[in-house]
Amino acid sequence: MTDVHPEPMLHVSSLTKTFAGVTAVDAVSFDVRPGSIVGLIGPNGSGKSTTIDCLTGFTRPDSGSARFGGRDVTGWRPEQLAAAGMVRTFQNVRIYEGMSVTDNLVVAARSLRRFTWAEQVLKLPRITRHEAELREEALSHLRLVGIDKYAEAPAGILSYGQRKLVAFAMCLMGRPRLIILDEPLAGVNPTVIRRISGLIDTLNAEGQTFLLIEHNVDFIMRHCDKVIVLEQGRLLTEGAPEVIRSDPRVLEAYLGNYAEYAEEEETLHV
Amino acid sequence: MMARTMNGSRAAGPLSPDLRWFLCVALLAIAPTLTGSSYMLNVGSLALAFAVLATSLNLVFGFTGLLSFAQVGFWGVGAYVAAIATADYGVSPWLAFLMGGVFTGVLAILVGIPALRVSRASFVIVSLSFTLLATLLSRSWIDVTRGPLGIPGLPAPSIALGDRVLLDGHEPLAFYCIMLGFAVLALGFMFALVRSSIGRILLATNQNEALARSQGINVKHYQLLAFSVAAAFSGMTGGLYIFHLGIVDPSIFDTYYSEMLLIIVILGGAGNFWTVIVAAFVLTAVPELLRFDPELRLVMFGAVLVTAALVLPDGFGGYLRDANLKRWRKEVRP
Repeated sequence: MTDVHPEPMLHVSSLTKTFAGVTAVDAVSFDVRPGSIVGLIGPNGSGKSTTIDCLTGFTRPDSGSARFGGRDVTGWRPEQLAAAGMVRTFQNVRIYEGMSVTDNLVVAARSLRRFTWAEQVLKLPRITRHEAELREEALSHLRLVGIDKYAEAPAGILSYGQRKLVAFAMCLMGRPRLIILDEPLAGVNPTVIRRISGLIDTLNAEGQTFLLIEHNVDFIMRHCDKVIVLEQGRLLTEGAPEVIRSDPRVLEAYLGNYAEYAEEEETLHV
Repeated sequence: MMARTMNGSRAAGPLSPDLRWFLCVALLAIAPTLTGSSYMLNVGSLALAFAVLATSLNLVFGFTGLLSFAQVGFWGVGAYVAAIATADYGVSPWLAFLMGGVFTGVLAILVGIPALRVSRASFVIVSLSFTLLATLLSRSWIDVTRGPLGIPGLPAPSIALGDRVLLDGHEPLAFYCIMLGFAVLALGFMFALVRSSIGRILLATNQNEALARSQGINVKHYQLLAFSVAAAFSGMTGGLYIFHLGIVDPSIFDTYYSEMLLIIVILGGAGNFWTVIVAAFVLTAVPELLRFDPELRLVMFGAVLVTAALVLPDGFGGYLRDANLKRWRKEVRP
């Protein structure tokens, strides 16, 4: 992926968020270019989720700004950002448990909501037609993630891994410009990990842009064009995976405590 | 692929679950006319009023997930608006009950905007306060409501052609038919709403608000829509039923109505359209059927409710939903 685009899709500039005196995100700036996969990593509590919450409108940043698709979107509400084409998944997987799997995807589609409420209640032919198209689209996404055989099942009966796949498929409805995945691999088995990895590659090859938060470093290194490392709310470093992998500061941030602990252990044994 | 629906069982046979439920409700609605007893027809009229009222609460609580104590408030306000319109301004009862509905529908938006600002918990408190405030106003704003004595001598909705009276709302059968016509239209509209793409969004905002917002759904707009539609139908029901009572006074806000309403929706199964309507009929009829012993009547009604709550913690609708989930689980992981 070459950086020939004049303007990044997402431009974050000195984003800051403080909770009761603790600076969770401290002047973080980065870019996401169209068609790229950007990874956001860092130890627990380094501010990854707060950064995402600020970008997707779930938390209001104290200062700094975000531009998305050429517009200043700082302080926008989640529903506005979604309408602008930025969708996300959640760390604790969220789906609509009481609805069928297909309905989970259809409700995520933004296009049906362009019709007036009266048109929708009266179920005019154009509504029925559009809904049938959305069901078709939903089914194709479900086939892609490999859970189409549960299309009509209540989503509440699905396993954790299957729920993650439904959440992923929901993001694909209406093809958003940017998909933000918050720990897509946490708590799922190797088969689902392979499937999600494959999906990200396939979709990216078609031009889909991703921003990923993930603890699985191998996965981040294998997929990302660029990796951003946060530590204690600050941007520690950013760059190509190869560069990040060999950066001693990153190792220190991730393993610092562990290294000290290991040293202590050794001293005790001696 | 197995043809299944979420709210019912296997869609086997020529009838869809919705159609089967409709036939079941239709039988219940015809039953009082077959008895020919004025008493049963009056109980039936009350049951129809409760069916519309309970369904409007179901729309707000069961589908949208907002616990509202305001439904009885809207029912009472609608009743007062209709009564004042006929008594003081000579408006026809037919138009007056619609005015009650329009008034409460708009009022719900004005109450709903501040009530929904903070959280679902604050909404519960505001909705309760609204009903208490409306009760207080009905007693104290004597210039308008005439205070505790109420507004008596309300006309019945009737249709006359010259001197010939075609429909006399004083007749129990005629009023039952009027209520039935209104209930069919009101329930039909709310059915179309919950089964439309809007109904699906209402469920979504209830089941996972953050997810809905992240998908571009303006949750507040949809909550206000449900609250306003429910208030409009509650107001119309109150506005129509008041012409059956012939008088409106502060007892229209009686806790009896709030309690019955919550019992119907909870035992019927919040979130299931049809079981709540069936519950409205059954639970209005049961206290009347228990009338053979007036002393023990309410004790027995209480026993029925406790038993039902123990056996069906999520109501009848919840029992059907769990049974459906169980079947699916067996199919997916045998």
